[in-house]
Amino acid sequence: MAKDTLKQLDSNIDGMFFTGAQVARSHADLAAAKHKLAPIAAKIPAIRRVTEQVSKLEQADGKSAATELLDLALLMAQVRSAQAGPNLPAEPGELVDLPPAAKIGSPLLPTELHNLVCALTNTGDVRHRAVTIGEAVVRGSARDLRILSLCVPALSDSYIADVVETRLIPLMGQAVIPELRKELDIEKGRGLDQRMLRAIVRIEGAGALDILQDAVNRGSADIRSAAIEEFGRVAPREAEPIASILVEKDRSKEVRIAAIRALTRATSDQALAVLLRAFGGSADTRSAAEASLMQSTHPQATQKIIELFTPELADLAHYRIKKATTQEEKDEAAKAKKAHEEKIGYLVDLVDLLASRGTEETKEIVVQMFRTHKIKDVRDTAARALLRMGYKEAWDELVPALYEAPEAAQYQFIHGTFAFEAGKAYERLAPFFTPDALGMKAGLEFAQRVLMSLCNVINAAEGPEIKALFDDTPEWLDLAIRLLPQEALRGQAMALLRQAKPPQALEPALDLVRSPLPNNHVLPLIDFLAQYRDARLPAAFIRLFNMLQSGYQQTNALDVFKQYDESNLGDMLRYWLEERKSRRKMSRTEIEPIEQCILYLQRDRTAPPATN
Amino acid sequence: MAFEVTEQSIGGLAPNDKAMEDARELIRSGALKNLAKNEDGSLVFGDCRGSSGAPYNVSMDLATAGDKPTLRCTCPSRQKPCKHVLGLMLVFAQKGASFPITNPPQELLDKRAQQGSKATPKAARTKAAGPQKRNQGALAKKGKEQVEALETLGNFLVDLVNVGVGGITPKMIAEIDQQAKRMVDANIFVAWPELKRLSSAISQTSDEKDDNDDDDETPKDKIAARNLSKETEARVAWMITRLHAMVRRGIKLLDGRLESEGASQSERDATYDLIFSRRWQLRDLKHAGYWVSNHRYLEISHENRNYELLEFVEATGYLLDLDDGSIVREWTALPYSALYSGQKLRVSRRGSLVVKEAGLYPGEMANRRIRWDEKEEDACVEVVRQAADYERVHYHAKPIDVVLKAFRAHIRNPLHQLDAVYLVAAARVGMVGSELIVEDAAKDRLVMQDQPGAIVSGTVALRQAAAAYGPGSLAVRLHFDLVSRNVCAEPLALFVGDEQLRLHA
Repeated sequence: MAKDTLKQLDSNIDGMFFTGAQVARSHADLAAAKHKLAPIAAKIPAIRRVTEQVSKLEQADGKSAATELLDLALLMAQVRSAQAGPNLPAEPGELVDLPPAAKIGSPLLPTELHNLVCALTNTGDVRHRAVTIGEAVVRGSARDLRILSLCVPALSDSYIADVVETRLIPLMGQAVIPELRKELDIEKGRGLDQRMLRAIVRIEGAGALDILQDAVNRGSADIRSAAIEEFGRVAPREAEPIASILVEKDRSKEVRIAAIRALTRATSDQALAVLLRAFGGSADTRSAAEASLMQSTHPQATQKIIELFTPELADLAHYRIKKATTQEEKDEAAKAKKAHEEKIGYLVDLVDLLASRGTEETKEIVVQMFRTHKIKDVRDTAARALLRMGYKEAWDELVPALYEAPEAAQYQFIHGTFAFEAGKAYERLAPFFTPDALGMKAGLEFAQRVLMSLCNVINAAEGPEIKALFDDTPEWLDLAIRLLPQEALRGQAMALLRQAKPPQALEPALDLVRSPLPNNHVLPLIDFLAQYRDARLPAAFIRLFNMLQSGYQQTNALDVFKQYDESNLGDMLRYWLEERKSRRKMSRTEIEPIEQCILYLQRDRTAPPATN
Repeated sequence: MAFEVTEQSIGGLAPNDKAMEDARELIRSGALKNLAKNEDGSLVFGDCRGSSGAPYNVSMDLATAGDKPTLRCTCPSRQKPCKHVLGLMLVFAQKGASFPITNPPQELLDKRAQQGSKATPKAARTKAAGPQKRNQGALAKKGKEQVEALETLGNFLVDLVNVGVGGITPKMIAEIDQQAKRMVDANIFVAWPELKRLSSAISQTSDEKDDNDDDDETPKDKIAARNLSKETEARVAWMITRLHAMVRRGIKLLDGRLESEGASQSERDATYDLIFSRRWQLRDLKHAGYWVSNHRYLEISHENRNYELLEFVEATGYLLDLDDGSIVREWTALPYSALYSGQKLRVSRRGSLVVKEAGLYPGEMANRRIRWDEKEEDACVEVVRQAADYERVHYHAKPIDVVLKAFRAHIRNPLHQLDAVYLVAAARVGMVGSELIVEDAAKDRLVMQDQPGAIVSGTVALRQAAAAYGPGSLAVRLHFDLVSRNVCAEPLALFVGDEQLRLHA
């Protein structure tokens, strides 16, 4: 009781600092507290001092009241320390043991931890947050206790959500599951919950079937779509009947599409029939069904797909415009035209699907379509499909269809070729680099697009994958070397060669130095040559440096020189600078970076490196 | 490289422009007297009139090993070099050739000889040297100034509490900032941040000014903050109480009443530290007996903190003394400017520390500061932790009631911080409702809580660690919560067997 009174008095004093001492001294609670404390004040000296000080405050006037209030606060600070007890649980109850959990240590060093925390919480001055997280995952140090509480909130940060979902959370393993399960909102879940669900499945695999089943049964549309897709991935057999129902009965388009994807690995007749029906449905579901049917391993899949190619589709002709005078007739005509366009769209997708199955029979149908079909879109699609499949028998016939196709279709073809059979990509695409092909209208642009796509494929790959690609298909490097003299393709060729650094590329690259170069090729060539070590290179660098026109380019080139770090190059640069100064007046801003580079290159290399 | 005494080189040594201005003023007023140099002109010395009555002895030794001269002055200023020595240098730069040649004072020659043995490790010199000599006149003057500053602060606090923080005017807020500056001038270094925090907590920048003025350089008016949270109110009340305690105890200490009341030297030193933040030299600590030898320590927790308001960062390592079980703190701080120039805070220590000799700051607080000579190689050696080290950790873990008792004793002194780190012997870790509870063998319990605003949740980490590894010795930070008036516990690290699981960022 007295404890509570003291606590209340202590708390009231905080408020008195705000209301002021003049109000405080006549505060009703002071007298009440004094009255309540009086019985124990007689026994305990510390409490007696408190009551005495309260009296002093009550009796004080003018500024002395403030002094007494300050003294009372000081006294209370000392008294409360003796009274201080631990915080008690909000709810009474028995102590419940913690459920067993996976062992995680705390390996992160303070700096690493700080950077990772900043990257995960978007605080501090950490750039490249996703990279920081990815590197910590690779090192394995990210598996740290202290990161646990940050993983799930980080899923809602779109800049890092992917790396957290696919790399960090799987590294944490079972330890993060309770938090994920606790936070996951199945009934109203949105994008964040989709990520949480996928993360759970990534860690638990088939062990998460209970939650997947639950999510499919009572989840929101977003949750149902993520759940059925994951279900199909981890347990295709169990997912088949559920996905088949969802494809046809779910009210959400996203869920239907996800269910179609979930049937990709399905092997039952029923699932195949569902996919075929979905292929004949709306454009959205058809696209998903096409992707699933392309990969279907059902033994009857190809035959059933061929059966979709009806004589009516084979004979489909251009839409004939009928004369319409009344509004009713016009509406009818518009409807018919739309239906015809949809049929063409369906046929185009079917051609792609047939081509993807890759059997002799389907190839035959595609060739037939290319040669005889009345609609150009269908013929062009068939031509691209045949080129992608490596059908060389009608090269000259096929290529114009590709060159005339829109840019997006060309890229689609190129990407498809790499994705379809990467090992045969060179064989399929090399013909586009022959002099004849490059000489054709739009041939050069197409070749550029092929090289750009190849660079993108390489950029997306990791170190060993790049090596494997060039080891498997060294012809790409030979092609890039052959293309170096081609001004229009040189940039892409050099970018490709930079990835592999083949020794045989040095000579042709040095040959370029002696030829006139467009300004925008000089810096990439310096950059490219700097990968090699050769006695002729410093002279080549100076020659190229001489061609640079802007200060920005020169600064970049000087950075490359510093990385190349050869004293010989410093001497040559000095000679070049003196010679240039003698010819024309150079500004201080022009000279300074060159001088700095020279100083760096000509530094005393015998001295030990500076340490912090 | 010899140091050339020119106005430019002197300007390079001056801590700020004002110091140069003051030095010039000293020359103009003829404050520098008895200026002379030795035969080779490498030692310049003289007297400078000071405000404490007795003149200060100033000197400049150009024959030092480094590329800067050794500058000495007996004034109490913390500014190095002080205006007096800068004045000497300026006069020497102008009229050094005409300085009379005389024999330098023996004291200066001794100091030069002592400095000549620079190769001698600092610790060896520390051992050899006695406590730092102080100019008693200057000290008395400084003490008088400090009493005056504290009295002024005390009067201001009375005025503030008389009006009430709720009715504070912009003028009074500006007065708090003025008081803070005055505390720095009077070398009362603990009151300064407290006043800065107080000003920051109860004020906000005037919005109207913001709208009309795009110039960031213009200082903005501060007005009273509205709708303070319960937590801020409690914090403000605590800051005022603490400042009041500083005034009361500071004056008592300086006028000798604390001594006459029977306070020990250690208590008086600790009180001085807690109000004025004395910059102890290691040799002074040793001479005063605040010294430990041959102790082994193990870091139980490490943390970095950033104080934006005061523009510095600090690193604190809480070290368990494996011999006596006390927990001390190894503290380093850097201003932002030092960080920008590439200096780094000390990192966490993963091994055990064998400390040959170290100063242990005075006081009865829970985590006393420990410091050793970083430049001496064998002052502290970090070795790989052994199983026996962990055994000692578990041996020193205390039951909850013992820890709470120690914490109550710690916060009884209003000058102490409201938190401290302890090692608790946890027998069981579990949940009651949604709260994480640590229970000791006597069934006493502590509720684990994260600090408000903590980015990394120590309780989540502890729940995982305890579930996976089981209970053990738990390093906790106890904190007195000013709103609930209860003691809260934040987990910092869990020791289980030979494993240390760090729970805190």
